[in-house]
Amino acid sequence: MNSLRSRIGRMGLNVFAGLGLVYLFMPIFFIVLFSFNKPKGNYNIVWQEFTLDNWLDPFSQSSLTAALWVSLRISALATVISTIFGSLIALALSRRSFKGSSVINLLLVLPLTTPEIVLGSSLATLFLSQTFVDFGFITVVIAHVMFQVSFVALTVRARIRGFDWTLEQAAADLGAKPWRTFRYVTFPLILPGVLAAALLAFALSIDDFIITFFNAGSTVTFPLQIYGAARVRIPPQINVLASMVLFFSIALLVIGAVRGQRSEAVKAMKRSKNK
Amino acid sequence: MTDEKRSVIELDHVRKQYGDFVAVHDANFSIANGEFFAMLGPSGCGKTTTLKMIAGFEQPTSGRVLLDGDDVSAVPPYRRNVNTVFQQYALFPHMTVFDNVAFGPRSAKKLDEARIKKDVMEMLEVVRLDKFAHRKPSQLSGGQQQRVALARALVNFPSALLLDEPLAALDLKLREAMQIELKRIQREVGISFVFVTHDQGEAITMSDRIAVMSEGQVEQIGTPEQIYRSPASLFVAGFIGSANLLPATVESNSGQQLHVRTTGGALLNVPQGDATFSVGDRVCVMLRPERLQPAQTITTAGSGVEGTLTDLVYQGATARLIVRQHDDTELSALVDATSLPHWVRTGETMCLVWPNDCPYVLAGWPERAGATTTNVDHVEAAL
Repeated sequence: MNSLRSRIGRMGLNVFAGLGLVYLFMPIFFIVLFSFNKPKGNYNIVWQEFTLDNWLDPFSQSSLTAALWVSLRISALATVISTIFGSLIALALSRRSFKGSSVINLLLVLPLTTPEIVLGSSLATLFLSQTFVDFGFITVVIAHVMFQVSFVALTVRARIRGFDWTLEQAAADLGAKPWRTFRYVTFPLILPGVLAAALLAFALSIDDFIITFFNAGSTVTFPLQIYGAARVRIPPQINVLASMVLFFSIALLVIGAVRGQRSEAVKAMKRSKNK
Repeated sequence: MTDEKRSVIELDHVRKQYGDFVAVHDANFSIANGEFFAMLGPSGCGKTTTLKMIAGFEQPTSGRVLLDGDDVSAVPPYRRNVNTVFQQYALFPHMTVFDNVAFGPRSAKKLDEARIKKDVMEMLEVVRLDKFAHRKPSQLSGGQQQRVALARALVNFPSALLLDEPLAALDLKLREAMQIELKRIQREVGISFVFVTHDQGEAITMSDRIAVMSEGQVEQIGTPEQIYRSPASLFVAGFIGSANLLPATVESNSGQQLHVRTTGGALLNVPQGDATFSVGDRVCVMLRPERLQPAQTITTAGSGVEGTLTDLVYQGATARLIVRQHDDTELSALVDATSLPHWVRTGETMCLVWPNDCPYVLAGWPERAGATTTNVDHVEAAL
């Protein structure tokens, strides 16, 4: 009786979990599926027939390709800058609490809780009120760095919460100057956290629309291009490029997982060899 | 060695204060070359803070720290020629044992890689871990990690090695083995070891000299025997080994001998010791449990007390007797269990007697009269 109930309960849980996953992955599935569609007319929204044409010629829409290239450059640059600054903030906040560290904590959370429309428009006002930079590539990078820094700082800080700071003392004790301690002890140990934060920051940057929209000027990023184009036509190349980005990120994840397993396997091998 | 007595570390009236809290009051002592020196005290006594000031992780509020005669009070840790073995070892988890040990020499940049390799492997041999050079710390046992930490510190040939509760993380059996191992390694390398511990047994078995600390004060510095036989304060008497502390008042003073009356009413003859007391002074008579003997009567006047045996605990070769006096203070005696007289029975009245040189007089009354609760027998066994 009891075991039957618990079995039904477990089955129900599995069904719900399955439905949840379907809910999450259905849109992604359709993006990939429709990259193989051969649409009639300008809108790739009704399934017609299977084709590989889109994948064989993914860059046929030159404006779309150009926009993707712009987006990749913006996101790469913004991610590098925000990862450096965000990680340094996280290190400073984790190492010890100092005067003003609680204020910085508050300021870090602020960009996450402020509506993007407010961030975007106020930043645009700021850029308008000065004459040093025109709207374009630079302003978009600055805008992206602004919100990425918070995500990076919070992610890195969460990842290094358990960091054993006596390791830095030990390095200093062994004669390592502060830079050497950072280079050979602190940095290698926090690197996984920093990389995770960078991936997150990159993902947030490459698909940002609202803040970019306010600050891009005549620069057209991938999301802006799709938004603009969708009013006249939705070519299947959008799906192809989106799928490529998707597969690229999945590949990154898989490489990470496989490398992790490999180093585990190498360790296990060495262990057994030593015995 | 001609410079055997040269002092490696000198603390010159060192004081450390955090806000209003004084962690170390006035540490003023020096540690000789090749010495095994312990800083002993309960947690919060300032021993670790003192160690950190020697290592350079803390700066003294006032006073000076000297290493090899040079004032290093303001010198950062990476420019001090001392190395630390941390309580949790602080091994670099992403490096192999070899790279951990080589970290110091590589930071110094004085030697080429071939020489470093030779030094590191030699040091790993000293700690008997040469076969584990290419493992990661996580693949080693606690005791092995400890020895990596030792090798990593010693390979730099420091003026002194600082050890912060190095054995606290090990289980009892391993701890005893490591005590012997540490002594062996210290003899082999001939470097001063400064060793922080809260474990009096550890301090007594391993050290040449001990500094007993309490609440930021250095209470006494001396050899284990000096500290055990003639403690400088009630705190030291109670902290090192177990002791019976009898509060008493001086009734007369014959120069060599004091006649004191305990609060229990017994009149005792005790040697004067180093301090001088006058009639009416409140003193404390310390009696070590292993020097007390059971007796039916007090044969030498003033060298024994009477009471009721409340507890008899066999501990293998020895037995512990708890004798309650009329005023309810309890005395503890550690006696030979094999020759225990038949009249020693729980509930019976009996006496505890002691040789003339057993009692030791301290100034002041203890907070708690009678046997101290630290019944650490291996301390008595070690001496």
